[in-house]
Amino acid sequence: MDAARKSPCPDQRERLVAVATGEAARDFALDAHLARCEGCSAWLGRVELHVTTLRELGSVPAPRDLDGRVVGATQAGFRQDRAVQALRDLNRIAMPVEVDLAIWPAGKSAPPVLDRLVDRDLQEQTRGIARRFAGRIERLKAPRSLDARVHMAWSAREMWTRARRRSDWRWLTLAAALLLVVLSVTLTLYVVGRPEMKRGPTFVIEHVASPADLDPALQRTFAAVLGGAPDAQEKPW
Amino acid sequence: MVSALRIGLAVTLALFGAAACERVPAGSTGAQATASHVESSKLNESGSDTALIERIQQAPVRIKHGGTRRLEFHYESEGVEHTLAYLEHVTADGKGNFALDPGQIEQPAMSTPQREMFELLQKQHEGFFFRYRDFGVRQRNLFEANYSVQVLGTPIAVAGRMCTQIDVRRIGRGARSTYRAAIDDQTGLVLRWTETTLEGRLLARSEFVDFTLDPVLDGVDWFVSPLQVESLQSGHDLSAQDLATLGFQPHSLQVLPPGYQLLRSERIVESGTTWLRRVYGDGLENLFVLERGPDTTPPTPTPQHDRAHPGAQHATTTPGSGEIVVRICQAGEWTLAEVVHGSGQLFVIGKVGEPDVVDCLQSAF
Repeated sequence: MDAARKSPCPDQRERLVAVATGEAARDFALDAHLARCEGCSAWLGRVELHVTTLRELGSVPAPRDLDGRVVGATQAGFRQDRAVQALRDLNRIAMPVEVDLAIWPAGKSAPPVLDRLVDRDLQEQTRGIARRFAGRIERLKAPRSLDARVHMAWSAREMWTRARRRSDWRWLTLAAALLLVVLSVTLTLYVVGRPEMKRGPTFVIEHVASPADLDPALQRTFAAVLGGAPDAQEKPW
Repeated sequence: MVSALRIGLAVTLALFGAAACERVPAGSTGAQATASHVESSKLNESGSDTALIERIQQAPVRIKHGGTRRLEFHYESEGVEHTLAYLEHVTADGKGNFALDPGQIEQPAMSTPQREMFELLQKQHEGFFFRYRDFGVRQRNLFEANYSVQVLGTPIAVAGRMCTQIDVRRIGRGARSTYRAAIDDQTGLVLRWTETTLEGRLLARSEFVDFTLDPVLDGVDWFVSPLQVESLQSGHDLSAQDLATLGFQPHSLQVLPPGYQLLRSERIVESGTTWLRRVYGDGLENLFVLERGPDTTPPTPTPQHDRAHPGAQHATTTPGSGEIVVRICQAGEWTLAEVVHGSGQLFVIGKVGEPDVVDCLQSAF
């Protein structure tokens, strides 16, 4: 086999690469090994040649659109995360004293009214926003007709509310009185009219021993339903 | 004597006898039954139960036939058992015309005048007999609702014709007797029937002794009602028009015996007196309610035996005291009741118990 194609010793491969790239220096032991091992010596020569060739290559920037597409394909969405994470990793920096003093002169705090306004807005955010923006609305005078309608509706509602409050007890009293009157009239009519109510007649049952003691017309019907049998009996021929 | 009685009786007897029949098949009007429990499955072996019942109902007036039948009736009165047995000739043209003519009287023994009088009376009952006397289906739905019918296994021959025998029993309470009938396979005519008490005592029996589907119709004295009979179309509550023709406000039963419904209302005019006859039924048995309004004619001589009616002076009401006297007679399976109210009369007769009759009457006043 050609010496140039011999494989290096496996236990020397990493050290040979490090020497070729400059990361490690050659020493006596390595030189002794290289002197007697043709494979490692040839392989080191090829690696050093490759390193030198690569170092002599010029730097060529990637096309801009390629850069964007690669980043878009492989890291979409991660950049924001990384930015957020980077911000979070930033150490908090206290405001310089000079700045603080520039905002609030030494010895003075925020006025109480500011604290109260801030607190109110924080507690009632919706109202606070409305209050602030409402103050910017231009006030216009309502037409007279609209004003009259609103006033009338408001007045009627107010009157009804007041009247209801006053008359609740009156209505209850009146209803109770009417109920008593109706009950009294009904009871009176019942008591007065009871003797005049139609009552069924009393039936007095008289038992008759023989059909011959009944009305002749009934006897004849009886004879008919019996095929004439009674007609054949007990007749005063 | 017989001739004189004939004249007197011709009018009075016709009311409940001859006038009984309008040429209308029994059960063709009236009731709307609510059939609920019919043991009809037992009939299926001989075909459709409804078809058989329908044939029984319609055959007497739709089938041309003739023959002679022997009839036998037993009833008890005042503890004495009475029996009547005689022959009767039947002719029907299948178009609604019919004739029943009394034949030989087997029992009891009668003299010639007695027999002639009896034959006259029988002839006066002709229409009533044909419609109401014999076993038959008066109203199909009511019959199916109130009776169970069991077909007996072995066919029999009656008057040379093959018949299917059936047992007919009232469902539930109210049963007072049972029937066994032989139905002609070809026509649906009842060629033989017997009625017995629940204890098995014979009450009535009828059987054709000769029978033909091709009778001679020439010269037959078909039944014609001698009275003015008008069928009232309105039901339980009479219409204003019916009330006007009736001439009086009748009492209407508000309570009926179980299973009974109004089948027919008829206005009958006899010797100036108007009667309302209402026939209630349970499909087989009948309950007759007869009411007479105030008599508007001058008093006329009445037959001797009418004046002798011993209970006439007792069957009265006393309006002042609010009492109504009901005279009731129990004769065998039958209950008879009479009420005189004001100048009118109300009679009830049916094969129902006395409590049912009293309930009916009380509901009418």
